[in-house]
Amino acid sequence: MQQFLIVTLNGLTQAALFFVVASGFSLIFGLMRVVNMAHGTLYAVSAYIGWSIWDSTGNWWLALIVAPLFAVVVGVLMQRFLLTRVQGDDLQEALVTIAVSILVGDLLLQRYGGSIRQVRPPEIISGATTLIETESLRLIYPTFRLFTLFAAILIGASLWYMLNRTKLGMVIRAGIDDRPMVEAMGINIERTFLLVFALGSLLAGLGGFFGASALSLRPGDDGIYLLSSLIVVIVGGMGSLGGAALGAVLIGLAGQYGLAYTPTYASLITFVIMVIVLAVRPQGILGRSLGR
Amino acid sequence: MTALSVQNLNVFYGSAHVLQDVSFELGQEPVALVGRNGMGKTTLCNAIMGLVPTRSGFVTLGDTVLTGKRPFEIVKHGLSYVPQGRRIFPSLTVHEHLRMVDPGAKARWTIKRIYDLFPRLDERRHSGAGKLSGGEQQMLAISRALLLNADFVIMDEPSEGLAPVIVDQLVETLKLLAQEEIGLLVIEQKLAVAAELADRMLVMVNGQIALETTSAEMLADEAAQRRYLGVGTMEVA
Repeated sequence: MQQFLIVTLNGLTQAALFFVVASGFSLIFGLMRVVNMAHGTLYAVSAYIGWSIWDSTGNWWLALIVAPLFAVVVGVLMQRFLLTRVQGDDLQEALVTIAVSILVGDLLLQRYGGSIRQVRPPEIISGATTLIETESLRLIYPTFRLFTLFAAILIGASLWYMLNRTKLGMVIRAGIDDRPMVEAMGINIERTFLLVFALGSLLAGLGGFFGASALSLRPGDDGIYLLSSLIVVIVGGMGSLGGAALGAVLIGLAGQYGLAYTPTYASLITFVIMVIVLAVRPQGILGRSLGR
Repeated sequence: MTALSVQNLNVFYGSAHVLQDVSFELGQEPVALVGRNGMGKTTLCNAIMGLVPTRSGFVTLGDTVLTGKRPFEIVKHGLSYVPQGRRIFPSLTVHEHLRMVDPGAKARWTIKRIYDLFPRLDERRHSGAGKLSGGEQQMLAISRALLLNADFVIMDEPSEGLAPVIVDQLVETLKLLAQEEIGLLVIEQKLAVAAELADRMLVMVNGQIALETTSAEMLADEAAQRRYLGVGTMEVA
């Protein structure tokens, strides 16, 4: 029982990280139809910069605020100076973002080397928390992982509010439906693109710093989180916040249950879920088919 | 006074010359543009709105050259658009559509005025736009265009797919716009509707303005109807 609960919590905290990163990926794709193959790079940029800030100042909170902003800067520069030149050409957009991911990935490798690093969260959110303590069951879990779960829920709620209650959210949802028509309503969709790219990059950056603090940081994380984002939004549905949450929980739990109970087939389970969703509902569980 | 002027407008889709030296000038009075399917009417709307690139020619609204501007800039200069097929946003509710372009309480057209004009939209303000009937969707498409408080509105086949009783309501609404001195270019397949809305009529054939006439003359001239509009393809009643 104890093992099952811990594995479930592991799955949910992994899902929390997946959700934060993948919701940014999904937003960017949903509005701009850009499959940003450098999304994992934004994760890694924030994680490494965050590690540097934490390592040199010892201030985790400062790193939490500043590191994701670096991801925003890289994302916005990429959108403003590279993607606008190839807008509408899916292949070129994919190639440009792959090129950025390779270049930035190598620069990070050159700067930080190949060793595994970890950011240590401050005392108040580190250590262990006792969740259940009875005669038959004692459940203790890392506090920071619970903090990550709470932060992901807060981020999800804020995103939901922004998308459903603000004018910007309405423009984003309308843009996912019919971009040219949004422009014909007198709205500068390019500016909205830039905002959404900044927001998507911020989410990747936040995910990166949380990931570096909750788990670890190593070369190749960018590819892992790009792949997980792709799987999460394929399963949940492109451009759907609820889809990203559902996809993240499914993939996070499936991955952890697989590792715990059928380690040989752990990674297979994730892809089986993806294949089933693609076969039965190609637009994703909560996605709408992309018409226009 | 000239409100909207189109001069020698040419548009190509690949090698197809879709709009060929299209020229006309419109004042504040409503004008209908008629023609068979595939003659370039919707392309003309899209070209004026900046939604398709033009090869040559000019579009001006008052003293402002619109050619080469992005659609959102064109709207800011006072032109708004009700597209063919309504193109409402299924993800948004009725009220969200209006809030998205809310001009504030001091504008000529406000959300309150829209709800007064279309009480049905008020009743369905929290409904998803994708769940509205065709007539309600058309009201919504017109409403969001009105909230832009434009000097000139282009409507592409507003009566398409609507029941006759809804078309009558639509005609009354569009007449109201004319009374408010909002310029109106209506692309219409139904000749009777076009004639009721506008005294002046432009006829488009193969990407060119083939005839400029009055609605009364066109209604009376069956030969012209056959020649320009195609007998059996137009609803004359």
